Amino acid sequence: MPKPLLNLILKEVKELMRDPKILVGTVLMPLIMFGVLGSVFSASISSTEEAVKNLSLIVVDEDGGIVSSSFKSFLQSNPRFEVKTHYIPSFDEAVGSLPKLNASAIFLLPKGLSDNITKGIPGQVKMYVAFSSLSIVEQSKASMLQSMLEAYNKALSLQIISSELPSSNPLFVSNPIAGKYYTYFKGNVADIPPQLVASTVSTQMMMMPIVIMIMLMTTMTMAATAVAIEKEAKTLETLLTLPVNRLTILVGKLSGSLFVALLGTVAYMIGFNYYMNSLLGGFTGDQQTLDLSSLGITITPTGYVLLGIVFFVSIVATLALAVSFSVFSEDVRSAQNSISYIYIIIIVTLLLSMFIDVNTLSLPAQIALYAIPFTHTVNASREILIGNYYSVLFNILYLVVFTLVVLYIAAKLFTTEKVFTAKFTLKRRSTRKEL
Amino acid sequence: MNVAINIENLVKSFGTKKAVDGLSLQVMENEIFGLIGPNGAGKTTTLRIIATLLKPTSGKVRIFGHDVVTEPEKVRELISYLPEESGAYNNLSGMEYLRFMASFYSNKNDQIDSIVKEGTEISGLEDRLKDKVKTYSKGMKRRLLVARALMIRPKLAILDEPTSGLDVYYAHYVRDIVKDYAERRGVTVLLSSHNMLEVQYMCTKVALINNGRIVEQGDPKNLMEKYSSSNLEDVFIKVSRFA
Repeated sequence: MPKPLLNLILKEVKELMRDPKILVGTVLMPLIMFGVLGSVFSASISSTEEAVKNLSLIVVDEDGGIVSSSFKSFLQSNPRFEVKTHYIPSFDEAVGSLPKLNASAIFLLPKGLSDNITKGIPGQVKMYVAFSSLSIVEQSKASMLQSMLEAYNKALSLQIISSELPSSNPLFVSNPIAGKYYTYFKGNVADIPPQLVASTVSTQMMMMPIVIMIMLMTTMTMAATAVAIEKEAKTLETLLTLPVNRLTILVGKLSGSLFVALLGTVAYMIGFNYYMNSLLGGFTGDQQTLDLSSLGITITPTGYVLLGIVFFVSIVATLALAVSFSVFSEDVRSAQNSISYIYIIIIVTLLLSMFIDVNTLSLPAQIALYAIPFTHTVNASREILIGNYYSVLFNILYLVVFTLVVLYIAAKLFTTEKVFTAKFTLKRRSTRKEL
Repeated sequence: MNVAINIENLVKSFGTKKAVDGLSLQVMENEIFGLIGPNGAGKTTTLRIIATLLKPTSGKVRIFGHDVVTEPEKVRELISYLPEESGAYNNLSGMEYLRFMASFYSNKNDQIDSIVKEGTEISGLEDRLKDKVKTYSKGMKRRLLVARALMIRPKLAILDEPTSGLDVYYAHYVRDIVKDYAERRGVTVLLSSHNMLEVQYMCTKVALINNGRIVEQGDPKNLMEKYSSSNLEDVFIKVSRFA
């Protein structure tokens, strides 16, 4: 590497890494932010588990028959929870006692429940779930109580079958067909329920664009700031009169920003991974570690190499784009304003690709979306997952061509006097008079 | 004596406004040449063209025979430019800044060390060079920047308002160091200032610039005699009234 370029890169990295705003904002913040979020989430899940273990319930038994008696026994004998049951004679009184007893629900067993069921008429148990807040703990409690009632329903059904059809197998009668689910994907069949495949893939599909979005935006801010800060600190004029090729200065700036941006991306990925593990570990359990390779949905070593190339080319394209914009900015703030337009494009592109299949859109819409380089980044990261490498190579080719065009424009701008006479405004571009 | 700067009929327009309007000038090697005039006269634009930052709209500018438009790289090897509003990298120490700048002028470590040593002496900042630039006062920063501009022993130092914004003590220090260094090392200096007394003290030759044109030039002493004035400020007032 030529010495002037090495000097410029080293200077750039030193400047960026010693800037507390960049160090904290780019490297430490993602670790702290996702770390805290993940810990909060884990704590929330633990407290949910703890809260649903100890349930306080009110039973208003207007029926007083055998079914209500068996329901009460069922509540008491549930091995998964510590249930404290309060028996209150009237519903109104039960509602009044809810806050005092800190109860999660009222089960109203109406008069005639046992009679109806004995006569073969469906009965009704009314369940009033009390939300003390709108937290996750309360939401989990609600679904827990619902499944508790469903479990009793199932147990009662088996009991009725065995008494009505003593010679039959109650389990068979209640469930004569057991569904066995498989998934077929691109010529591969796997012994995995489609719902599980869908939920696992959708998690990955959601994670990837978010990580890409964060990575590209971090990179862009860094590069735009790197040139603008030279203008703001009044160091650019001196730099441009040094006996060094201006393209070398541009490449030095890009490389320095690239290094710090990659560092930031790694921090984001570590933090995000921790957060997602906390999130998925709490809610989906085994689903997160579900192996979809039998369906061909996996990243092979070749896939990882391609993914690295896609990320790298995308970052360089973004850097070049940011530098081109920042050439017209007179200070850091206007540089950040000018690239906010690209942020919007990134966010819209990624949201679109998260929720819709681009290939199902009309041809003009597809052309418009595929003209945006970030569409190729997201598309490639998905195609890699299913091993569609030809499509990935096309995405990489597009990104490379786009990068070269943008770099050419950036280099052209950087070698002209526009680099410090031009000014970007929200309304128009104009040549600034420097007298 | 060689011609260091040769400017012929230089014009620079920004849109419809002419910042420099047919300026011609010659600066000889080893001269300390002062370009003086009020704000907006076209001094900075002229210096930026000489420093290869701006391209002339028309006219020719040659530095030691090299054209600033067709041979900007050659010109940049010969010059050192100190802009009026100039900064250093806040997160580097003064020493790191000097070393970073020196590294563009040599690939050999011992030569870089020697350039940095020279810069250290010129700046007079001593131990403070170990501190980050962001802790420096305005005067200290300017001393560092002047040291940066001179330490590489350029053939031509272009100094735009070298004492701009400095108090009397720092301004005096900078003036002395530029004058002394240029004389000792045989560096040609082109400086601009709207402080005509400063130029009178430092320069061997001056040009008075107004509305983008040279309105008078010569030895400060001769000019004062010619216009029966006790200082260059009076000369400028008389010349601009006459113009």
